[in-house]
Amino acid sequence: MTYRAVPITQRDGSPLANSNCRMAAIATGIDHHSLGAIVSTGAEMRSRQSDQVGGTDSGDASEAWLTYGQVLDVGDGGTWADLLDELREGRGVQLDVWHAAARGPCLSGSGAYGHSMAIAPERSGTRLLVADPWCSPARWTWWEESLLRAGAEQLGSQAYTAATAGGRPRSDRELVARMRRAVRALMTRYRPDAPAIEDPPEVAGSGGMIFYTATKPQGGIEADMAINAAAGMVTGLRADVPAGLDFYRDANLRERLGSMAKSSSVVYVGNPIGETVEGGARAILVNTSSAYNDGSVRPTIVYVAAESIDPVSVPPTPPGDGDVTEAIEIRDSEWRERIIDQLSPGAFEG
Amino acid sequence: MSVFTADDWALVYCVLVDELDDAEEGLAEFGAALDTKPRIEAVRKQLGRIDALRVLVDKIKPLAGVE
Repeated sequence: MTYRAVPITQRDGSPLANSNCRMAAIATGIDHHSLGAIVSTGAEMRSRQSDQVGGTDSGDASEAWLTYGQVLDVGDGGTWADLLDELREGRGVQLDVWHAAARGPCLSGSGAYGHSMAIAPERSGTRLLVADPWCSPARWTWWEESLLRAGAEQLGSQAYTAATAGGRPRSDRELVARMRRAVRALMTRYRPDAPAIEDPPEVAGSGGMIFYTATKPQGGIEADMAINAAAGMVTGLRADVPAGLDFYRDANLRERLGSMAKSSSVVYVGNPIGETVEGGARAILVNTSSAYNDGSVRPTIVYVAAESIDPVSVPPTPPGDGDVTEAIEIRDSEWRERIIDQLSPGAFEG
Repeated sequence: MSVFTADDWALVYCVLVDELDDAEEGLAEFGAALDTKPRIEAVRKQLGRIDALRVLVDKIKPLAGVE
């Protein structure tokens, strides 16, 4: 079950409310990021960063998050495909759009202004779940992905045009940095309460670049996690693992727990379901203390890169060796004879 | 570029001035310790970037209607 953050409106009566779309979107984002442990507002986020004039950018958003001790992932200059990957991983996203092209969900006038919206990692057919900070009261709305994409790519194209009008910067890094300034300028010059009379121009060449930030994924939702296994757990498969092989807490191989101290043969548990890491992952059973705070070694199901192991079938272990089995049979036979003798008709006479 | 209005150029001007301001601030930080070859090289590059930005800003200023 995905945790759904509380949507936040930018229209909270604060002095910079009309320019606080990003701040409200990242307030919704930090709720998702912390699974509800941190709550904030657009005005509060604004007060936690240094830019107190007009629109904001991802740098301002990161600055505000750092005051909570949290790191916001910046996806500026990425593509729509990158954003979809973020959502598939369970991340909340704060997307910059030209609001008129996104057509809502809560448009002010013509919508001719730069805007930020929060997107939850939930999907219903072709629609994504959006918290548009201009909505008051705040709410989540299912909104067509194609409209969000159109809004994001139009803003990216406008920013590219403004960033390259005097000449293209020397590197892609400088280009994205200048485009980021342009996005902020598009949010400062054109606002919900003062939209552009005409849309800013666009020239070809932006390559579908969009601007967004993302939270961390919600842990344990999209991928299996390490398990403290029951004692004596076995399967019909084992795998040889080399010394130094890294093993992870999660099936997407993001959180490394440790590495194999020596090469050994381990129990192969199986394939995780729904992992998104390239190449896939495999679950194995190891004895480790690295998943526990108390330092004790326990049998633990962890994850390794799929290509790093090659499971093989092992024959079932016989219940015991032949001598033991024979001895037990002899003993049982002796007990049987003794009991039969004691129960025979003459046994109780005299 | 003929499709650009003065308002559009004003936006471009605003972006470039913002970048120039930050570049000059960055230069001041570099200048605090010019004690290694990489630092000197970084300052040389930053100066080149600032010069290029100043030329751009001067070029766009009249288009943006800035006095």
